[in-house]
Amino acid sequence: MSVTDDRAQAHTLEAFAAAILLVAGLTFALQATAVTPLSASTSNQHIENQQRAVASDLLATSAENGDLEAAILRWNPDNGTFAESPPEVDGAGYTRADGPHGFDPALGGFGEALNRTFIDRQIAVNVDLRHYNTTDRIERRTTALIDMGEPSNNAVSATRTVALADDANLTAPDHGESTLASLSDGDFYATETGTGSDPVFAYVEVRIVVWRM
Amino acid sequence: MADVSLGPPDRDRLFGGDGAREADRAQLLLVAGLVMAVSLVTLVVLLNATIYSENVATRGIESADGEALEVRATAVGGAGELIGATNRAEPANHSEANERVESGVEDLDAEISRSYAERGGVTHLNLSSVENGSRVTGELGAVDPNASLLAGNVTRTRGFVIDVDPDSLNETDPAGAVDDAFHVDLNDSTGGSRQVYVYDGTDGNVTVAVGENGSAPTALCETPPDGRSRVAVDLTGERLGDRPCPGIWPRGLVAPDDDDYTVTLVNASSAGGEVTATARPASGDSVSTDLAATATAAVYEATIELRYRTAELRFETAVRVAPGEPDA
Repeated sequence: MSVTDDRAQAHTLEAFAAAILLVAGLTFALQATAVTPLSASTSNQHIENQQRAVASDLLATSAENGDLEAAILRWNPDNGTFAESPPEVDGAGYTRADGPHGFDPALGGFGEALNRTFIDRQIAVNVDLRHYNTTDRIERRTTALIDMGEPSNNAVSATRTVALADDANLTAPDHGESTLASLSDGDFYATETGTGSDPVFAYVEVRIVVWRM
Repeated sequence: MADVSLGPPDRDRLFGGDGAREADRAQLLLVAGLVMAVSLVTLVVLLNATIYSENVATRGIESADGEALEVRATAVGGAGELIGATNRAEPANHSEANERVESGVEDLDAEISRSYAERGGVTHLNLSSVENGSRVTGELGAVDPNASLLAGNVTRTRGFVIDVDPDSLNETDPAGAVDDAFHVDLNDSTGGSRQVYVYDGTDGNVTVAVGENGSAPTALCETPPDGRSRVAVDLTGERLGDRPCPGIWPRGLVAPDDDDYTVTLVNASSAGGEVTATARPASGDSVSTDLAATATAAVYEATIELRYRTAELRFETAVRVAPGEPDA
């Protein structure tokens, strides 16, 4: 075999090596970002869709049976926090689901529904209550009902607005006889936005944010 | 020292020689290899882009649907609470009640508009019409122990709840309930009547039984009092305590059926507690009742027109709001 024949074979092998190198390089680059439950992918979008639907339905059912209103009225005007929220919390709401009962004792039926739907499946939840500060509705304030941390990039949210009437009673222990209209200004987290004879005290938008832990 | 000087030019390498054809083939293979590699990668990228686009497109539609329903739920929930709160505040007359609902819907419109403007949506809520009625409340102990008219000649009833004291109920069974138990008589003007009995079953449970045309009733649901001072029997919501109890309210008296009927409380001395109901009369604004002293002007239902518009969606609907009305 002549020397030129050998060189041709070497070129062929070189071509294959180059092709394999290119493909391997691309494959490596694609694999360098691990696909986790939190990374953006087509399957993750399905999970987001499902979580949004579940969160939205949970809010709808809780609003329908009154659990949602009871949970957001569980306010203790004496210390300006939600009743029975952990004392070490630096804020108004609940930070986590403790123990086997999770949110149940503190948040009643709404907490039970959150536990069954999300907490038991290792899905974190934030629940924010958004309300306007004046009747002109210029600035919106947020009060955290449940704060389990910073949501990931793949968190989804669902909202539901609850109307609170003037004669709605607080559900916190020892304050069951207090109606929203009877409280002094600043005793409740939301300011009264209803004017004059309007029997509605305020509208509170409940925003639930869920993400996989 | 090693010889590193360049040798004479290789003529075969520069201009081809005996092996030039084989060298060309190798180059061809190299190019073919590259083309194959690039083609495969392109195919994978295109396939992925197609799946991704399809997925995103589908997701967009779903979320847009949900948003319109969310606006509707907010409007219905807000208007329902507004009507309920207006009626509980016991307005002096129907015009005052209507004014409060009208201004309340304007306030709700401002709230929803402001709220959804943050998300790039434009909403408009408009009160289309209002139907008047009466809200009747009363202590069972204060009504005629034999028979007391709660609401006469009405076409619709909602929020009909009896908060009974479990200790005050007569102890009986279905056979004896006709004569001994407190019951509500729903008498349809087109024929037929339904009786809803509430009594203490022999096991101490609050029991609800249903009978037709005065015949012996059939026990439908029961719940233990569990130390509660009041157990709610929601006739129009078809619930006993905190559990559903389907079948209490007759199907013939559900919207859109507009038969006149009469609601009467019978054997009221066999139970203690409070009764609350909001009813719409067949004619006029107020219903006739024996509990006139505690009946107040009320808004029975309101129809609101809702419009919601985003860059991708246009949603328009008219919703009738009557919170606590039995489901069709």
